[in-house]
Amino acid sequence: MRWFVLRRLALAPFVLLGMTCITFFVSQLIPVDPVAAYLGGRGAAQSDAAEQAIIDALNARWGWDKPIPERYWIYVTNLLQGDMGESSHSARAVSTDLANVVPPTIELVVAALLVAFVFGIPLGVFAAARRGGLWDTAFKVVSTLAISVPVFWLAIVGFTVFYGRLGWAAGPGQLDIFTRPPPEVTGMVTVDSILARQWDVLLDTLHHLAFPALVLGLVIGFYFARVVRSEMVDALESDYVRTARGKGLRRRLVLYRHALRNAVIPVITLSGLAFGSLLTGIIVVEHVVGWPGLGQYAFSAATRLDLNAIAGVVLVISLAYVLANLAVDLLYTVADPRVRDGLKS
Amino acid sequence: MKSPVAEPGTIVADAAEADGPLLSVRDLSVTFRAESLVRAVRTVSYDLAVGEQVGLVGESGSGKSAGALALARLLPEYADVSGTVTLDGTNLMRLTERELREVRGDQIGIVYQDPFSSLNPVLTIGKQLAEVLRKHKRLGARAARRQAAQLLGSVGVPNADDRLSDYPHQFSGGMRQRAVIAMAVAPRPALLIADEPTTALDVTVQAQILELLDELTSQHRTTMLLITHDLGVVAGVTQRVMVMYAGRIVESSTTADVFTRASHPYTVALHRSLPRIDLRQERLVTIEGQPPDPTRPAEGCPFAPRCPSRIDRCATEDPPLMTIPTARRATAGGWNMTSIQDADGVQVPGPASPHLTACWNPPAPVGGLSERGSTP
Repeated sequence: MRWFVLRRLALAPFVLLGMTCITFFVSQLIPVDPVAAYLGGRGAAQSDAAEQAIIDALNARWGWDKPIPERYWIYVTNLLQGDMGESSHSARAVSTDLANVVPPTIELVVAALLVAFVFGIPLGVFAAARRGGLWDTAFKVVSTLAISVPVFWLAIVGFTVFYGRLGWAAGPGQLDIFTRPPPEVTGMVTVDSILARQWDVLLDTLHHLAFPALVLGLVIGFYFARVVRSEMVDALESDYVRTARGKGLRRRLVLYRHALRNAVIPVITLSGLAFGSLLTGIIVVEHVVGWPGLGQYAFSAATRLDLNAIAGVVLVISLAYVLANLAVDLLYTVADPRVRDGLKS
Repeated sequence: MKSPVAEPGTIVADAAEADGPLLSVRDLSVTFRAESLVRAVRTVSYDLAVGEQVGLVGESGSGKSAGALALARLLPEYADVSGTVTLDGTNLMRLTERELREVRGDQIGIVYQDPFSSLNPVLTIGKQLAEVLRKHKRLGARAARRQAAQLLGSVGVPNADDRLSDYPHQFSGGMRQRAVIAMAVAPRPALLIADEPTTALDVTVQAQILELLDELTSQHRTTMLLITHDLGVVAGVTQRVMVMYAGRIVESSTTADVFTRASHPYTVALHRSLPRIDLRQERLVTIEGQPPDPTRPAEGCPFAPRCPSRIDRCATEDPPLMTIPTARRATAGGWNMTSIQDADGVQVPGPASPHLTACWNPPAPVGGLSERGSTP
């Protein structure tokens, strides 16, 4: 068990190195000149001497005048020292930018997953327990709608209705403009406000967090619910559930202890996969509600061809994937004793 | 009605004093609503007395498992069950799901066919065992665990204390079935239903499991309904046997009678198909033809198409269970059954009932095995 974790963690740097290699060389293949993009299209087209001087200066500053392999070597050695280069659109170190945008996104991801689990799993159990009935049919219709609606549509329409019209949702950002942010410790406003015991700030940021977390969480939650439902239907017809019923156990015990404990195992796999769609959703949702996180940063970096920033974002996402998959594998060993034993040998 | 205070174990004593049958099944029918209606059990009636060990024998699809699980109303929702099942004075068919939960596991214990699928793979053996005790004996967590260890030891699992925290996959097939048996007998049920308890096990383990079931049920005067397709299994354990064919009981008598004086052509054919150690056989004898399609019940006796002693009447009239007169009068035309039926009428298999057979023309008594020569 411990060896399994250590082995997986030891492999992670190699996975990440592979990722840097891919992102670096792919970004070299893009047939657009980032210097030209930075200069707004004037750059390479004109051969004016003054313009050329600017171009040369920028190339030298970002190291674009060196051959590609050398640039990769410089990139990797810098990376190992925590230097991810400079962002062309924010004019700050990419690592500084990431330190600012990653914590708000962690808050959003955790909140969305929490919503998805707390809402999706009981809903799936509920539908499976009433399979074939009216509630089950209603569930099928609503969940099909929910997972086929694009997230950007849901976010835009939802925000227009619940913020614009009804005023239930909080406005853009993490805090009201008149609220002073808590002293920064982790960069996550929720955690920082708890650490500073500023409960009004906590309430304010939770209010801001609610809408994007619900949009992302409900969509994934309906995904979870559908998987839980179909797994539960199988489990409820299994022999071990019959045994549990034959013991005279209460319905709740049969459903949750006997059936759900088995039905939830595939949901673990699914949550690993859902992590990917969650990150895509985050780019859209953060943009709509003005959440100052990784998604917005990625969006502006991509539209401005800010190669260093893009590479930094990809690296963070890869790291998140590696950790998420490790978490999935560890959860498996918790949920399924047969997997646990397989690891011992 | 049973007394409101249901102390475990007292039911057996009460019922014994009451001198009535412990379990009384009348006109039990089970129909599965599949693509077409499958009539798995057709108007089956029988009685079981306290402390009896009774075998229910039949081939796959004869309705024996469906009929047994229907007693505890454990069949899936697409099964329609009708008839009455009276356990110790209470009609189980009339109970609500909540009332039924007090009967299941407590008064009726069940050992299932496949110990590889009937135990929950993600819960420890100890937890699965303790939950029965917590539910029906109202024990706390620690007391339940202690008693679970005792129980597991008493069904022959070595190092029971340590093995409580094992998961089912860490147990062998025989050990799993022992654990299932421990769960079934934990609250001292009045009735133990053993649904093909040895079918999924190695031959060497089968005898041990049967011995354990026999020992546990005779020790506590538990009534056991032992369901099997294997005549050899009932021979060693049970006092009485009911043979099922196509959803009906076709023969019922003492185990000795069924083995030495089988009187239904199907039972006779079953005996013939048993491999014999004393005869050199090139091939196993099989019963010609197929069991009837349960979705299309035919008129007349369901065994008639495969029956060597079929007469005209068999094609039109389904024979009820009838007594066989002790003084048999064989004639060239077979038994004079008209007089028999008029004299004795239709009978329900029970502890005191005579040898019954559902046949218009029972063949001369044939014993496939000698009474003592059989081993489980």
